[in-house]
Amino acid sequence: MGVQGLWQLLEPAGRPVEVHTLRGKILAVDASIWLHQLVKGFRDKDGNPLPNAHLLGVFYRVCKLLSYGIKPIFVFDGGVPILKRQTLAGRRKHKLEAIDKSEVARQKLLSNFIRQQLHRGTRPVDPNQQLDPQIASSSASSSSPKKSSTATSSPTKRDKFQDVDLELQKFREKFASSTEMDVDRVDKTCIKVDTVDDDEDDSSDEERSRRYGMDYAENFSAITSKDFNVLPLETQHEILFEMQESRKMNSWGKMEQMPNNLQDFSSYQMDRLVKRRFLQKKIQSVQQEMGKRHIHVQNLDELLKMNYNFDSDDVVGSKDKGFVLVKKSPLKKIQNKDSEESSSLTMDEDSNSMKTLVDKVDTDSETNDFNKTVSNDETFNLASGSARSPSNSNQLASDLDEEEQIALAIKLSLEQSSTDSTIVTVSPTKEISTKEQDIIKGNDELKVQSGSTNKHISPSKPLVILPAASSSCSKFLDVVGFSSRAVSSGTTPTKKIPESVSESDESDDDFDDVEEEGESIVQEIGENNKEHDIVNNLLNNSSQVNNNNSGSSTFAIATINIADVVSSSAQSDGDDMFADIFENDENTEITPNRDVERQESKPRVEEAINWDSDPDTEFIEELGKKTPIKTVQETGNQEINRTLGRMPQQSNFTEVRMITAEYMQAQESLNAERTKLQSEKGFQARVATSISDQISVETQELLGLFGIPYIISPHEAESQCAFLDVACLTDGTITDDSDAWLFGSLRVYKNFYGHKSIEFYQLADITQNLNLDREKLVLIAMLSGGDYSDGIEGVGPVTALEILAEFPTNEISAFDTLVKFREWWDMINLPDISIPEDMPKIREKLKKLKLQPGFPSEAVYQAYMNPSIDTSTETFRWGNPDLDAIKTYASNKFGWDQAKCDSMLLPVSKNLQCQMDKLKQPTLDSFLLSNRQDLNQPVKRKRGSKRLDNAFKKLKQNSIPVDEVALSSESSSEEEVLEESPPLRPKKKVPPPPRPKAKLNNDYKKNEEPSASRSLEEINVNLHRNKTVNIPQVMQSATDQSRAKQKAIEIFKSKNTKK
Amino acid sequence: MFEAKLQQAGTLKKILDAIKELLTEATFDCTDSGIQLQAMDNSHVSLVSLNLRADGFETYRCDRNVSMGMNLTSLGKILKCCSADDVVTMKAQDAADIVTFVFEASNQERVSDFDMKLMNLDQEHLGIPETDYACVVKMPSAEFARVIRDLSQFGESITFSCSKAGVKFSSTGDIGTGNVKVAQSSSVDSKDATTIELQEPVTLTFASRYLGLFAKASGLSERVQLSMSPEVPLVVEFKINDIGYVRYYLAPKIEDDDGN
Repeated sequence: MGVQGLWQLLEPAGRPVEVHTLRGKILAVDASIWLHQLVKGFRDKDGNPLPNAHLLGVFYRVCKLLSYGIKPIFVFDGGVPILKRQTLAGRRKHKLEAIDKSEVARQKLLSNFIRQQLHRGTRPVDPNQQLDPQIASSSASSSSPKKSSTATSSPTKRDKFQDVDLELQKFREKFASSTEMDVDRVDKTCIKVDTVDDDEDDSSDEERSRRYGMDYAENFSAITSKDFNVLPLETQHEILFEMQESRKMNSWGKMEQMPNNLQDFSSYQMDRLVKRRFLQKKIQSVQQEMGKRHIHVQNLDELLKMNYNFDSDDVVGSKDKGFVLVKKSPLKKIQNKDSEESSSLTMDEDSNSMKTLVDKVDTDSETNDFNKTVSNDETFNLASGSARSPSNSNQLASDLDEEEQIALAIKLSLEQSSTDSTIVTVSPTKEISTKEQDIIKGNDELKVQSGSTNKHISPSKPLVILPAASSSCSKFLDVVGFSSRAVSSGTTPTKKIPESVSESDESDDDFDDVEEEGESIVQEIGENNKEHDIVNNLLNNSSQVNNNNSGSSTFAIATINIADVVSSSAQSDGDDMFADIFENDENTEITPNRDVERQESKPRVEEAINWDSDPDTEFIEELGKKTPIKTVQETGNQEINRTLGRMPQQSNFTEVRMITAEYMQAQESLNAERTKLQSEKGFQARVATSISDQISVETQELLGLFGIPYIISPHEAESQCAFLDVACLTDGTITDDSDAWLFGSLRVYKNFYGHKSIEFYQLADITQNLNLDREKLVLIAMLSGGDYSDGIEGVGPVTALEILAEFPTNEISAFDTLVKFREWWDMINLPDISIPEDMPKIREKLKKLKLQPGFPSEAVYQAYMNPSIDTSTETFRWGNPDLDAIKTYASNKFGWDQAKCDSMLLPVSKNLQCQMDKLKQPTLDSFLLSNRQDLNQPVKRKRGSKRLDNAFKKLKQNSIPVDEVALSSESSSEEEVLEESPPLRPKKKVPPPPRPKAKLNNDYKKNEEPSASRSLEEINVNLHRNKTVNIPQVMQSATDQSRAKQKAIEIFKSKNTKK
Repeated sequence: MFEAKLQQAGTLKKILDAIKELLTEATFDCTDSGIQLQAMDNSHVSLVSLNLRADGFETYRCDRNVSMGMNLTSLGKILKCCSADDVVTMKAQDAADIVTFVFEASNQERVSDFDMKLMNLDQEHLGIPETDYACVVKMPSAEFARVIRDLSQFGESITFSCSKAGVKFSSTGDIGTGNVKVAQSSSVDSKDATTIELQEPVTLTFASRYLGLFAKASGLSERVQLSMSPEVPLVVEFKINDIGYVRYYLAPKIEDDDGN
């Protein structure tokens, strides 16, 4: 559009104006550039073009114009002049390329997305495979005794679990092998889906649409195939959605596939309907499936962020894979039991308030670990059960069952259950999200198993060692007592206190403190006492397991302690929070391993107690809190071997952590790539859109509703605007197209819509300040390239200006400047010419330019100077906006509701009311003897460069003699131009509002009688310009406006004569 | 260096009250001869012209011309800090970006000073053409304010019809029509007299909103002078006792005859 860089050149001549000063002005609006801006400028957040963007934009802008009381006239492009068409042909090529690029970007985007999905899917596999040998080696020594012990305690469980594990293994292999294939296949499918795209290029439209039809059918068969189901859910959804969308977009494209036979049409329609329905169903099912799997992930995210202020960055792991260690769950579950019948709500609370830590430990590695011990088996099973509660609230019923079982266990032994449920592994459920159906089966089995194991567990848990527990409990009380007040969530731990208290008869005084906490606790104590009895009874049952469980019980309490300490410290010194959590994290990671060790030490029962208490003290030390749990340290025997067990495990974890980090990195880069591609796609798609006739017609329809007159220029809208301006039918033009100057506009308002203020340019200012007139501007356009010519390569406006300054002509036609330049260039580039020594630098540079044959083109010059325009001087009429119709229109097209419409139209209707008032409020501007010449010296802005400055200076010097010549021989020059122009004179297109056939600008001038005001202006113009501008004498006689103008001109004149 | 001392801060307060609703910011041009302010309102329908002569101040010193762009809301905040009978001194350095106001209480016990940041305002200097007005009405400003207030209730415009006998103000609106006739007083000397100097009868219509804003200056002076000619802006002038004047110019409404 226009001449590149011309605006920058003209910038010093512009001046900002306030929009309210334009009230009542008649302004021509170059609709073509508007529509271009709107169609390309309006975009959604991804950068894609919006539907109805042009209408929306025009609507907004028209509202703005009308609310400021401006009377707009819209000027649309008519046909495209041949010259422009030629120039544009080159550009269209570029556009086509852009379309293709957009296409490619889309494809890349999709394949990238799929890769990302698959990558996510494969993630559990890779680290596993690396881990497997390690685990094998690290646990080789200990595995056999473990297994034996496990076997003795619960062989059935182990077997079952191994089955599951085998299945997992199988799946893993299968998945790994199929991953690559998947990528390929998905890529293909996507490309198929993706080839569908709307485009505007007329020639390829049909072809594409036909291709689309086939693709659609193909895709359809693709999605019905079984292979499709194997794809990851997200990918499935993506593809389906894409299909649905593209189907919507391209309904025109299907004209081609219509059956020729009329009879077949209904069946064709039915067929399509069925297909559409199938697609819809498929999408729904996929969405449902996805929804199920995503709920828990979202829940966890929320939990992490809201409840515990965890930064998910600190808790390492991907969003949908990894471990969740639920630390508070035991407490909550106790609570649950207390309010047992309470229902799903408590359940939700339960899962919501769970302290979750997303661990990066890999699913399978963990299962492998667990597999080796019974206790881990139990934990795992339990975990799988409880993991379901956050994952799917729909499964509440089954969860309740689980919950009841757990509660049963809790009744028997609080500590026991807490240990087991301390570690909640979400991994199995997470596994589902790898979208393999095999695994779902596996998971089902797991669930079944967990049910049965729970039953197994419950009897084996009724064990508490009072001496060990009581001492730690009393201390625990202290901790809780001091933290509970600060922490609101601390109330949950306190509920545990009475229970522990009742078990340990010593801590009555502590109990008093706790009693203050709430009456509910008192009620609980009663229950707890009963439980205590039961516990005691059961205590006698099996002493062996007792020991084991006592270990875990203390452990559980310790964990709770940690939780409390963390929460209290979080309250007191929030800064340490993350450090705490991190440490906590590490500790909890280790817990399963501790369990392992506990199992190992099972034969040595006494030691086991030590084992368990030691880690507890360890925790506390690690936390670095001055917690008063010193007694735990006292009771716990300081064993040396405690660290031994932990070290290898930890290294194991760091390994996993590194792998996860790698994965995260890959993910990040993929994400970045994706966003990049997305924006690229948006950009290319926007470049690819173009203005169709339909858009113009729709816009005109909208303008009709607003009662705004519009004309369709025979060719270029800008030239028509320029004519209206010159003919005083308008008070200026609103356009951002610098072509307006080339067609002879006198007043142009730029940046009408934008963040910057409106800039007002007058040709008089430009002439005065920059010594540029219309002819020179045309020459600049010819040199640097405009709509009608591509110009000389390497020449911008600045160089063009230099050329103009370098080759001044005293000739009449400015065109001769270029001829002269050409002659010089031809001469200087003759092989046998000797280059003069003193050739200025500029000329040296100009010599290097490559001029195309046929430059300068007289035709281009004439096309600018004598564009084909509609020269009717019929005045315009403005109707009243049909507000009701506009509202209906807006609700139809934009989906606006009443309120939105009203808010948009309020200023318009307000202004309308003002206009209805017979009295018009003019501004003082026309009354005041404004010292306008002050304003005519626009704020001096920094000129671009020294080069530019020099060129301007030179131009100024040159222009003085030219000025004199121009004044004397002005009329003859006009004639000359005219004689040359006839072959170019284009045929007129009759625009919709029929107007009398008129002649060209120049003819016009000769025919009209000059009015008084006209002559004044002419004089003024001549004083300023090097040569005349073709001003027709179509002046409105004796209006207020012209009076004001006369005054201004007089001042102008006097000022200039003084000079 | 610019320094001007005014005996009555209340005058300044009233001046501000008279212009602050038309203008949000304005440039005070301080020259050797006094302080001038000239600005159009946002919609360029009215113009305020304030002139405070140097000799009206108790002391006045202006070495070099200073243009002080002020935000009138901020100025209002500062002037709230003084009482009407304080002595106020305005000070500014040459090419300074702040102006200082010093308020001294009449009992000499309290002196406060405030600095206000100045703004750089784009200023259009508009020449107001000298016109011989066809009709000049002088009347008590309270009477003028009342007429405007009463008639503003009726419609958005008020028509001034001047004849030898008197001035008729009329307004028509949704609720009906209101007319107020003010006759020329018989005793010309009286302070409350309404006098009309008439070359030819004039009928002009003005926006009542602006007239209402002008009427806020009636506290400045007991008399108001309305100057009218066909098709030129109305001038409403309030003299500020012995120091200068504030003038309002208002473009008359015109018949919209093109039917647009």
